[in-house]
Amino acid sequence: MVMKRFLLALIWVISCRAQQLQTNTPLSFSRAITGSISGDDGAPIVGAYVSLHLLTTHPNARLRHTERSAAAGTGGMFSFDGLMDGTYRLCADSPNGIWLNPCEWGLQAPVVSVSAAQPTGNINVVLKKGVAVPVRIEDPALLLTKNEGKTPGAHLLLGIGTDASVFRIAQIVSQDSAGRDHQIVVPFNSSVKLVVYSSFFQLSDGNGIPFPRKSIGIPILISPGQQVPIIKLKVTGGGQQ
Amino acid sequence: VFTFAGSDIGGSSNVASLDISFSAAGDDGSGVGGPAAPVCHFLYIPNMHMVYMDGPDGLYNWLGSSIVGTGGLNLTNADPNSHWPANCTVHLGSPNVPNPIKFEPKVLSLTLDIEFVASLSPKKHMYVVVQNANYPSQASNGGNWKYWGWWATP
Repeated sequence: MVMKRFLLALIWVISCRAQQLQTNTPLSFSRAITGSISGDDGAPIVGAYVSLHLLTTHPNARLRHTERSAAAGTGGMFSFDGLMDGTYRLCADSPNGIWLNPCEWGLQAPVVSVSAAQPTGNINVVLKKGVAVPVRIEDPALLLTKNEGKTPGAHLLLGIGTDASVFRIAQIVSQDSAGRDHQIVVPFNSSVKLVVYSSFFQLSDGNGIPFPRKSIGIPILISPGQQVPIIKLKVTGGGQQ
Repeated sequence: VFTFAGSDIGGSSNVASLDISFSAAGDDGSGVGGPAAPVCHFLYIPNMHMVYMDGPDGLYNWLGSSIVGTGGLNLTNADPNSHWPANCTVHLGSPNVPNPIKFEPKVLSLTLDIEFVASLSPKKHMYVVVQNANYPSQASNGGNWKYWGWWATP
C-alpha cells in the first residue's frame, strides 16, 4: 500500500515536471551589449567598473544571472555577451571615484534593450563629474585609535544619502598622529547632508562647539569653481552614554 | 529571525556594510515603490560588529547603535521627530541567535532577531544594499536597493 502511494506520488511529480518543461519559454543567451564610458569632459574613463542590471522580469529570471559587471578597457570600451532578452540598466563607478554613478546620482541611468529583433545594443555612457569633499577628524587624545575595533560599541559613522536613498559611507583616505581624513564624493549644485553619528564618541565642530549625542546632518552644497571647504570635526571624549 | 547575506569577490572580509530595509510600500513582484516610509531600516558594519538603527522615515537619522551578539542591545526605531510610530525592534543580543555572524570565503551572513509591531503593514518588503571596502567603494545593484521579496505576519 505504501509502495503504491509512493509510485503514485512519483508519477504525479514526473507529470508536473513534464508539464513545466513544456510550458517554459526557451531562453536565448545570444544577445550582446557594447559601449563606452566617458566623462562629461569627453575623456574616456579607462578602468571604470561597469555593471549591467536586468530590469525586465523573466519567468525564469530567478534562475539566471541578472547582474553582470566588467571593467572598461582602452577608450573606455566595454562589452557584455551571452545575455538574454530584456531591458538593462547600466551603472558605472570610476576608478578615482570623482565621476558620479548615474544609478546613484540624478537617477537617469542609461537603459538599453536587446531582443530577437535587436540582438545587439550599443550605448555610450557619459558620467557627470562630482566633487570630493574632505572631512577632517581631529583626534588629539587618539580616542578613535584606542577604542575603535577594541572597545565594544566604539565607532564613528560618517556618510551621506544618495539620490537612490542609499547610505554611502565616507571612507577613510588617510590617518596621522592627530586624527584622520575621510572623503565623500557629491554632485555639484546639489544639497546633501553629511550624516555624523556615534553613540560612543563625543564630538564637536571645528570651532569646538559640542554636538549633541544624536545623528547630525551637516549641509553640503558645492558650486563649480568654488573652493571646496574642509569639514572639520573633533573627537572630545568617549564612552557609552 | 532573519538571515541577510552579502558577498564580495574580494572575500567576505571586504564587505564594508549591509544596509537592510523592511518597507510596507513596494510592489510584491518587482519591489518597485519601495523602500519608502515607514520603514524598519538598519545598517550593519561588519568590521565593528555593529548595527545602527534608523528612524522610521528611513532618512539616516541614526537613533542608536549596538554590537551584535553577546551584550547586544535591543534597538527600536522610535523617533520623536517622525510622525511615524516605531515599527520594529532588533534584538542584537538575542538568545534565539547564538551565532549571528558567519564569514564564508566570499559570503557574509548576518542573522538577526527582529520584532515587528502592528504599525508596519502585515506585508513587509525586504531590500538590501551591500557596499565593499574598496577605494572607491562599490555598492551592489549599482548602488540601488535590491528587492529580495516580501514577508508577512498573520
